[in-house]
Amino acid sequence: MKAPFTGGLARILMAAALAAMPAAGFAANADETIKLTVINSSDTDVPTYILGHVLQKAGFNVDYVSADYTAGLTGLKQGDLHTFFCWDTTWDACQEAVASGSVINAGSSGIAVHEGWWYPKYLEQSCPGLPDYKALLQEGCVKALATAETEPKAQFVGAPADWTTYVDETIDAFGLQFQPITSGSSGALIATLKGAYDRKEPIMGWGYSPHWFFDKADGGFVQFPDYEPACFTDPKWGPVPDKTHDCKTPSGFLWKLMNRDISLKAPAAARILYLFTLDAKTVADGMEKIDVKGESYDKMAEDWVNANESVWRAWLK
Amino acid sequence: MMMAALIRRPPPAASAAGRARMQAAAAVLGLILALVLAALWRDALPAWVVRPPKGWLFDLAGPVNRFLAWLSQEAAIGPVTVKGLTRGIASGFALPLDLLQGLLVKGIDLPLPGGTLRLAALPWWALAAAAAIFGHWVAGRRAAGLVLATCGYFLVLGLWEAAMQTLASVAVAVVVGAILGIALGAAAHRWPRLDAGLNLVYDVMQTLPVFSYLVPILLFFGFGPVAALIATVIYAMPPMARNTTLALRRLPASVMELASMAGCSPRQRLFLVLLPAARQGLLTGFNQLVMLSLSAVIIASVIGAGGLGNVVLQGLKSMQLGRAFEAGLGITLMAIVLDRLSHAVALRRPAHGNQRAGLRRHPALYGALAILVAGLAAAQTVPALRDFPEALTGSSGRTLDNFFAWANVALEAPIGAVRDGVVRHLFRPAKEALLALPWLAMAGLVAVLAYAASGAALALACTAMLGFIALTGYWDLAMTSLYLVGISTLIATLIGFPIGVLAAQGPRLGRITALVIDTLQTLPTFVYLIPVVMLFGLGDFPAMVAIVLFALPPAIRYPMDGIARVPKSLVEAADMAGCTRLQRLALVQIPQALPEIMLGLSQTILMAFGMLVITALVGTRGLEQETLVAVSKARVGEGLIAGLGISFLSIMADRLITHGSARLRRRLGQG
Repeated sequence: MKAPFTGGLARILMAAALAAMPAAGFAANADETIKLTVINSSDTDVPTYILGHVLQKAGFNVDYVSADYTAGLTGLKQGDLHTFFCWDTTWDACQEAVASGSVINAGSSGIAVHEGWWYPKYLEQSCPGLPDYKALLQEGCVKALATAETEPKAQFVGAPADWTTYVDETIDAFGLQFQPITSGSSGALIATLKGAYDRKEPIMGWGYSPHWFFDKADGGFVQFPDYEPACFTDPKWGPVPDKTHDCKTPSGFLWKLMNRDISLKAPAAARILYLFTLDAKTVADGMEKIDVKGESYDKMAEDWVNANESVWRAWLK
Repeated sequence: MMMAALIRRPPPAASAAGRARMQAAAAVLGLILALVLAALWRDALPAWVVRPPKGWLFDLAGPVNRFLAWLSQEAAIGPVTVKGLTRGIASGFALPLDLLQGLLVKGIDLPLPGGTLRLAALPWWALAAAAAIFGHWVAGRRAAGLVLATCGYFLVLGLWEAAMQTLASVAVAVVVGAILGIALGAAAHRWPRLDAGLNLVYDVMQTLPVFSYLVPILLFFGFGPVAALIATVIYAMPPMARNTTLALRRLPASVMELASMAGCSPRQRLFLVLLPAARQGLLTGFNQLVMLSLSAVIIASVIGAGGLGNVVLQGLKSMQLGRAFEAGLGITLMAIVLDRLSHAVALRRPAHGNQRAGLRRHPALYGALAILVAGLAAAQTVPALRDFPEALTGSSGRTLDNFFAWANVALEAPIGAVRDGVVRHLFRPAKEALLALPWLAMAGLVAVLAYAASGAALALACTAMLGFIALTGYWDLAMTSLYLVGISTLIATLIGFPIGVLAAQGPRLGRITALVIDTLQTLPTFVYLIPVVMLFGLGDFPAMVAIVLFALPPAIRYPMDGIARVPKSLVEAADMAGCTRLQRLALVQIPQALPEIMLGLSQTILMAFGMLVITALVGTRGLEQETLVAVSKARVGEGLIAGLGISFLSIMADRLITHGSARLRRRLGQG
């Protein structure tokens, strides 16, 4: 520990740390190895590597452990993994991890997330009126999006089944003639959308940003009425008087999770995680470097750390 | 007909064969009629015949979840918690794994009194040279060349570290699997009563989707390479054990007698006489163990194994297909090298009568060891010697991606037409028909088939398994899985059988086909999953394509080998009797090869079920999707039960075909 803590949060942490390590515990902190979860998806791995390099600057050993997104949550609960970025769409799973008592939520990362019904620009020819959701009610639009497997309904390329996207509820609420098909994995979701996009075929599916494909491709998100909590509970709310879920899916930020034990063992690392914030642009730039220019994660993170010393210095104090 | 009767020796058998055929045809017709009627009467039937009512279903998943949560968190044996125990076992496995990974890739931290000493890993040149020398020693010049080429492949493509990490985990998994497999196999040989029970366990182990036991493994053994190791061993060990038992049982009685005469203790008998004598059979099992361990590499990286599997996953997720393909091909190369070397090691004849010992007896081995030691020393002192020069590395880059992007656009019309036609006229009707069937009709049908194929025991077992699926509420999902596997197996057989028959006509054609099949079989399934999705979109059609690709090898290989193995004398007799080529094939070779062809069919179905699980990743909707979602949501019970459903379906299919074909053969006078 280089400097004394400041701030209320830190005081709580210090108290916790002192309780856990009664005497002279601080010196051992820097020996701790922090295991960061890498999920092989640049949207989440870019902030992870930047965090890892900042932790290294603070004197921690870091280990990037590759894991499947949701299997990683189990690892986080068990303490085999130490940090994790959680998407709003898997809020239930993250919430459950926090509820188990072995994971703490260190707040938002500041990285705004946008998720919803994505479509390529050229779809506006078949579905005039997009991005307004009413365009999806037209017969021609449904027909254009129908496939051999879903006809007479339109196909909606859904997210993997474990993401909470409320697509069934939205379809029901607005009476859309759509049939969602689950994509099983994020890789398959992107491959399907990109394959159809390259062919200039009508397609609609679950999209999210930051992401290299959705940020680069020429498309947009269907506009549903803005989310308010009442929308999910009160049927009267929104344009459809007798249904709930007649609005957007709530989306917000990437959340920072940490294993509780490691936050007690290495409070300085926990402090860094609490203070760690990036904006969406930093992440998008990083993703561009990784996915388009083919740079390594380490180089990308090293460059960021070198260019933004004043930013991360503030987190170390 | 005349020809067949002539060749199939005793004349009465001919009429028996004819009768058997008539009966089979009548049975098939009857079945189709029964199914159509059952589907048509669906509405007239009472509801409980169509689907078990809610009140009948029992919730097994809940108790399983609660039990496992309790077991993994609270349960204790005396003062030791179960979790502590399993974590202890895990760290036991972690030790050799860490050591090997440290030596090969990561370097080792030695805790010394004065602080930790960091030991760099073995440098690439020492490892490659030692491996090549070893390869030359056991298998000759060509093997050494293969080893060097493989090392070069990894180095140039910048995959060396990933490859060594995979090698380390596969090596440990193979050693653990071999020890466990031989122990269990020998035990089953010694106590035959154990054998039946173990066989059932192996069946489940081999057919249970890996996804459905990933979460329990995570709960008990933690996240990371060790958990991946355990999953790999569960998946890859059964053939080792089965082959051990089989090989020991096949030994002539004289070997046993020799051991007794020499005054061996039971342990000496096993280790000094039986196992060495049975090593050919052990080798088959070992080869399977290595192959299956490597094919589990990608799934293992889902729970933190790292290495080449991770490179594949990463490439697929960011749609860098070229990168994924390079790493996937690397796994194939590694499989080929390990297979070749392990084969050679096992077949080496001990040099009898050679009095030289130590250094002079095995100069190559000691030379390789010396290079490793020198390399380790050099890596500590001269950092420049550690890494392969980056300037020499490269990658195929985006070539493959560009190719797929091009194919995707250029071939859109024909691909789309085929896909839509097949989905409209084959997939949807087949799925709807299977889902329309009342569950009782289906269960009854399977029971009748099982009774006809083998007897009351199999009929009872099948009914119990189907009842389990129905009463746990997974009937619809199970039928969705079954329809996809059924159609895929049909298509794989329709493609594979003619190819196999054709390839059997000439030895050179056969060799080329075998090479292609081998590559296809070791190429990780994930590698072609994403290109297939890009070209065909999401859903059952791309899943079918992937399953067919994966299940094709046995569909080709078994008919091919079977026909090639038909005794020459029979073929010559047919020629002398004036058969045309076609007649010879249809009347002599194919009937004679029927046992192999049927075995091929059951293998194809098993492979199809194996791949089905993976297709959940591209959005199929049967039981396999349930096991995948269960991993994601850490719902252990649901995952295990849905996984057991898949396991039961494939075991049933396998048993029905094996017993059915055995009965058919007896009737045809071949058994």
